[in-house]
Amino acid sequence: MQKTKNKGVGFPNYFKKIGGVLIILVIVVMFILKGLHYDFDTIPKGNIKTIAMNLFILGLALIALAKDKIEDEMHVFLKLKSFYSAFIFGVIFTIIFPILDIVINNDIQQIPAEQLVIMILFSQISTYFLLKRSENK
Amino acid sequence: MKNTLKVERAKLNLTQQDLADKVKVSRQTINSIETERYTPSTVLALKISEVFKTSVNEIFILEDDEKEA
Repeated sequence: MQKTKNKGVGFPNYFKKIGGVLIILVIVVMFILKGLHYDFDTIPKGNIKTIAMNLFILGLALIALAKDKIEDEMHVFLKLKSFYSAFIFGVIFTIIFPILDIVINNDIQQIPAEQLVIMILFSQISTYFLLKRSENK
Repeated sequence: MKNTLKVERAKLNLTQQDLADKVKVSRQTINSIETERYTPSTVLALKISEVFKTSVNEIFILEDDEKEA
């Protein structure tokens, strides 16, 4: 018989902390720069807003892809469910966004990719948290 | 899918945590199986049946609508 092992998929648990620290750092640095009335669009080597946004996405991705301290098959299943619902949310958001834009701004705009990725990652993290909490009851 | 996990556990005087430790899953997983919110994999079902020294069929019972092929 083939030996079956389920170790779960994803980064080690400490990546959650790294992701969290990264997000906090980005937010703190942006607040400090805003406090110093820094012009975000005139940094010599690239746009600081883009760098901050990419680091923010990286932080969220690390949290979303890191394993739990105790991760068994049910947690893998819940994670799969949360990724599935986040994907569906992303699709619906992409469809709804231009319609809302017409209603509110009277103009159609493309949804920025960074915004979509952040929404999907936020949705995955919060759905997984809620699913886990409902299973703990 | 129904199951008799709670009854079998009571027979051996095991807590959810004891059973979870024996089959190497979290207590939440055992709780979710008992309350029929989660259906275990074949591997986990076999591990659980091994703890109770009974067959899988005696612990996990298909409901009528699930029996239809």
